[in-house]
Amino acid sequence: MLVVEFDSHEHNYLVVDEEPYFLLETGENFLVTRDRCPHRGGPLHLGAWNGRTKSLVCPWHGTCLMEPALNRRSVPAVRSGQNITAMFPVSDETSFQFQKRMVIANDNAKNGPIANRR
Amino acid sequence: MSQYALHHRDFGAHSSPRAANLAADVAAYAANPLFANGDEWVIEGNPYRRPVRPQDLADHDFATPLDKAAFCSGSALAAQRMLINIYESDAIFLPEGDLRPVEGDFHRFYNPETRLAGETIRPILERHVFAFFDREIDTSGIWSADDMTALFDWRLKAVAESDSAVKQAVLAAANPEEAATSFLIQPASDFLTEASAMARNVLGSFGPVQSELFKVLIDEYGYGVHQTKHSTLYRETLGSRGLSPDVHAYWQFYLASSLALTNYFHYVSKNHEMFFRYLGALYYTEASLVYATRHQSEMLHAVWGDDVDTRYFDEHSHIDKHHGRMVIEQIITPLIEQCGDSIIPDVVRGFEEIRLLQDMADADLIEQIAWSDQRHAAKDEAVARAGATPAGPAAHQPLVFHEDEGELSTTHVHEHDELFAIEDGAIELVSGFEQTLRLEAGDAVVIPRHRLHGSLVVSPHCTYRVTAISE
Repeated sequence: MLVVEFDSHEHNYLVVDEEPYFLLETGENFLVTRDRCPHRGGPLHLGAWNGRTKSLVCPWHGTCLMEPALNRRSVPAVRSGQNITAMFPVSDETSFQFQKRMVIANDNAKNGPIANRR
Repeated sequence: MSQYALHHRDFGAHSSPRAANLAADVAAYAANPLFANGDEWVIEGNPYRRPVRPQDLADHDFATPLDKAAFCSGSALAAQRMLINIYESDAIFLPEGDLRPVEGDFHRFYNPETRLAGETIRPILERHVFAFFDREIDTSGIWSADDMTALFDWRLKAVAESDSAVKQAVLAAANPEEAATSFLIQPASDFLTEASAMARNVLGSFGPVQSELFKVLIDEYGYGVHQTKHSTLYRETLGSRGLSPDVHAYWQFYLASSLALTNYFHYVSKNHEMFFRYLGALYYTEASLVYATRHQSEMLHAVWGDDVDTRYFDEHSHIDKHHGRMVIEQIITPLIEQCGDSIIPDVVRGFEEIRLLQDMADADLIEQIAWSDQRHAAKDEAVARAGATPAGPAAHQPLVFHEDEGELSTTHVHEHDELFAIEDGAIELVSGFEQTLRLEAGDAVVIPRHRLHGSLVVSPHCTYRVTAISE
């Protein structure tokens, strides 16, 4: 098991053994979730968060991932203040790197549900 | 998000009629003579006397949960003092000697009116001081026992590989003996009543795990042999340094953060909805104390050589290796198998909460030690500032006090840095047990925000001015 800790104010994207994850923060909750859409691998960190249906919409084909599906695609994590510690099901010697990227869904979550936006 | 997120709980205290009731309820509890201001720094022979500075309570908004930055504020200190009194009314305290001189206080501490008054305000005070955890700590994703164990092992490895910041601060102090004494006093609120909160968790009926938890408890209680009870060992530690072993003798010197560590275990043990959080917190404590107590024992010997009894710390450094293993292997893991993985997030929360609380308490103690250690130098610096009170939004109207000889100000904290300047007479500022700074006319000192202090007038009369000098 690989345990990784990062400062969420500095990083929000991780690549663990070439598998990308991002920090999804919906206001009420947070998830460290896989970035590749299960449909055709689209970049979910560029997807939109629908606060009304509590789902993430893939920017490529509009695949909608509801919270239970997102949960299943996430790794267990704990937040303490701005630090996030996540557990990845790989060897503890697996390489990983942190990045900071624009996460569209987090902006949506701050600005309100898509359905209410003009 | 926890299903019982405390900051979401609305006890109705924010609405006007309930707000007025809360203030009245707090005042009613604090009106007990046991909790009034006293005239002694050290309270011996009476485990029921616990001043809460009743005159300050109306200034505090207990209805609103504090955030992490206010953890050491005046309202936090007041709430933590009242909470430990409320929690400990569930436990039995008797003075060392004859009860008769304090028998009236015994009844005042335990009578139904006091207990009802305490229970009325307890949930609101708990929310006031502990709801910040809901904002600070959260879990997500689907947890397995292996994920939980991986996190715990990773955290504890970091503890094992690190030095103790408190130890470093004590050994680096200009007066390490004072600093080490301050250190010994802080955990006394817990160590002298050790495992009282734990005992709350062995009642009822919950299978083999209950018996395993009881084994940890009987270790703490020395297998019924009083000389080996952990609280007895701590009494010996205090006695070896000439300190009083009476429970809460040093009440005046407990930091809010130290009380929080003791109260947290009562909080998650009295409210059994949080039983799984208790287990996570218990595991972190038992497993990390192996290393912490080793550092503490080394620190005490570095300061006092062989003139200190460290058997309390040495015993923990040994037995907590077993306790840590027992808690994870015989209690938490079987309970996950029995109850299901859904309890894991709460176990993780408890582990992370006490870890955060311990770090915050360490930081608070280090700051207090540093300020008290440099109090004489601080006096010289403040004299230069006394004549140049800054203008602008940071300045507040000074408060002037006229007090007579013997007037003792129960320890407290301020929300701003305060310039404490003497105009007439003499006063002793107290920043720790036997850590005093005599101030006479023309003297001044800056009391930093959230630093615990008290004062005693040592001249027939004293006039002093207190000015807030920062926002």
